[in-house]
Amino acid sequence: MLTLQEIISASPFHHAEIIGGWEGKERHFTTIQNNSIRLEEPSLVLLPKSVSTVIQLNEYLSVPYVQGILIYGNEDLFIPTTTIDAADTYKKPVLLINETNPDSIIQKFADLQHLKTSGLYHYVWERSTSYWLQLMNDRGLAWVLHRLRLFLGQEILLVNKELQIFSIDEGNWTSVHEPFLNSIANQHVTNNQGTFSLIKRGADDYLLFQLHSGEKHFGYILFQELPGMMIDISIEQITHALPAIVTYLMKEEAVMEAHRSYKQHFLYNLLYNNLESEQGLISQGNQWGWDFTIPTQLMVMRLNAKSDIPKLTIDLEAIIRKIRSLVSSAFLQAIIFPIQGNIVIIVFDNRDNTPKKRKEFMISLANKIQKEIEYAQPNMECHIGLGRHYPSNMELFRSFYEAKVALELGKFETKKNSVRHFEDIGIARLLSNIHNDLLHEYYQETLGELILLDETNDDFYLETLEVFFYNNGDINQTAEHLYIHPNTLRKRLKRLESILNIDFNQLDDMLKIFVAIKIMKMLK
Amino acid sequence: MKQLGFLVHTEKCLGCRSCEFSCKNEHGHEGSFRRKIHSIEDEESKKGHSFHHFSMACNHCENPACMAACPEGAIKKKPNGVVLIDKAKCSGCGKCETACPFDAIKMNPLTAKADKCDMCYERQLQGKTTICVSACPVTALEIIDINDPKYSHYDKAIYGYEMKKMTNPSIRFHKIKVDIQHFWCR
Repeated sequence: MLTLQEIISASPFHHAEIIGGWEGKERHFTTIQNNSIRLEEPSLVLLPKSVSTVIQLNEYLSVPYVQGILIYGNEDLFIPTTTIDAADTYKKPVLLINETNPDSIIQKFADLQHLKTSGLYHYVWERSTSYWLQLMNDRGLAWVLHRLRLFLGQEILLVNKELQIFSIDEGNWTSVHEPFLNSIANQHVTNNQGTFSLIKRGADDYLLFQLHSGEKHFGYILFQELPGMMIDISIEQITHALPAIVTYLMKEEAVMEAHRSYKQHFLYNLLYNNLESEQGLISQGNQWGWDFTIPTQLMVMRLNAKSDIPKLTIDLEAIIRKIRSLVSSAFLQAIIFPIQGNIVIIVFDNRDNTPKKRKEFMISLANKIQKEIEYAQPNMECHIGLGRHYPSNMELFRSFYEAKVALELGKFETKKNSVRHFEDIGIARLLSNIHNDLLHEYYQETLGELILLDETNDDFYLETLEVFFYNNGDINQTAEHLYIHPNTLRKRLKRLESILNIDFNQLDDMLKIFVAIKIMKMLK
Repeated sequence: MKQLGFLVHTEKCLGCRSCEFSCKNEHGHEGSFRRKIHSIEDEESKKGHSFHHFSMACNHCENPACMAACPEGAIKKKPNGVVLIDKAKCSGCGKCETACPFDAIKMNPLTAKADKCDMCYERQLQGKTTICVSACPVTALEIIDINDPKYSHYDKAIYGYEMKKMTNPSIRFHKIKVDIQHFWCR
């Protein structure tokens, strides 16, 4: 005895079109009858594709021994919805097949029945894998899933490792963090041995099929076991479709990897002046939908764990998504990608702005991003450096360097800002180009005596000086900062003037000391 | 991404200048060296009795200051991390020479264009190693991918030499602390 669900997995029946009545896929039949209504046992009726067949179909469906109808032939045939509804009502499957010879169908059926009685039906299941592989090759994943759902007569979910569901409409993974999926994944962790595992959720039973190739794990196929279903047949059908799905996912991953690496290569070339012409930049950018004819502004973001946090894992993808949504909220497009431990943000600024306004806007956008990221990641410190805007996008490499310099040198600024523009880092920009030996010599000449005095007497003259500059020379604020009386500070400043041989009322002297302190910080 | 850089085994380096001269022979420039041997007094004995040597050329920095300084955009960084000067674009203005914190760029008196170590780019394309590495008699120089975690334990700086960290130079130092074996001791 065979069921229609079994024979649809065998050649040539797996190409059959299911017209209706598939709810009765588990109906058994012992024989196949060609165009006969007088039946003595449960049978599958074979009918030629013709108009008279369509007329007779209702009559055939009403016969108790008819378990299903297989219509064969090459011609086009219109089957009215009333007939399809009748098949659904009787729960008797009606299938269409393109075979023209009824004898070969009968012979095939006899072979299948023989295999079933001999206990060799697993050969049929094994052969069905090549059908799924062929189908995947010809029609893609969406069609395979559609066909598998049709064969099983119920919904199945293709879920990746991150519990995202494959959406057929979008042809992509969709983020659905349903508590239901999470609970299933949590249960699965404990018993993930074998091809599939049985998961209970309340009164419902689910089968979770693993999609893996060797050590590589791609995700799961989730399938609900319904009461009264022939679970063994469904398992065979899913199990033998799995290799096709895994092959597709492996291929997709390889394509994605190649795409990612090509994209990364392009962005590297853009940031390191490896592109030959602006035309090349524009045409290559177009491949990913980036319009490099629009002026851009580059930012570099650095994330550091707060000092009291020992070890922290960063969800880089989530951070990039967040930045993307913030840039989109300003109606702008951006390229956001990680490089050398930083995140680079190239914002396409299509506004017709003056350089000053563009800079102000970008700083405000960077400030917004910085605040939102720190809010979303409370254990992280976020710093952003901005490079200057250049008229040609071919010069983005300069902007990239400047943004990194701004990020690096901003650390030595008196007032700490988390967002720094290259134009605003002041004298440190010049100092960054002077050789360390010369810088070392300068600060030793200027502050060496003071440092030595502090070390010998365990004093804090250098700190006094630093705090004095930090508070813009305000006596009261500096005194408050150092927890000393303003008059004591005045006395200390007089002493400092005599040690350093300077006058704090002279701008030249102030600048000399200011630069020396900055160099000292930079070298340390 | 790859970042090729030099690994200097300072304990091995004899300061023989084989790397300097082999580089000069290979690239054939009169009177200028792309590579230079530095001799620094040892940390332990500062009396001038003991030195350590190391060889340095262009460090093919992660953030090359020269690249941003070049008004012609003649300096580029290849995907393997090597910083190259496009001689056809170079106008010989010398800005890169002043921007480099390691004095690795010199103006070539013959061509009046900027010149620096290109990590023997042509030789590397032929599958050969750099001339300085192959010429070192004590294998004190090596080319490594500094982004490879297996090289992460090497030092980024060396005692006695002020390294400019801003540009993130792609050079690593390896100082093996091995006790001197005196042949008369048992």
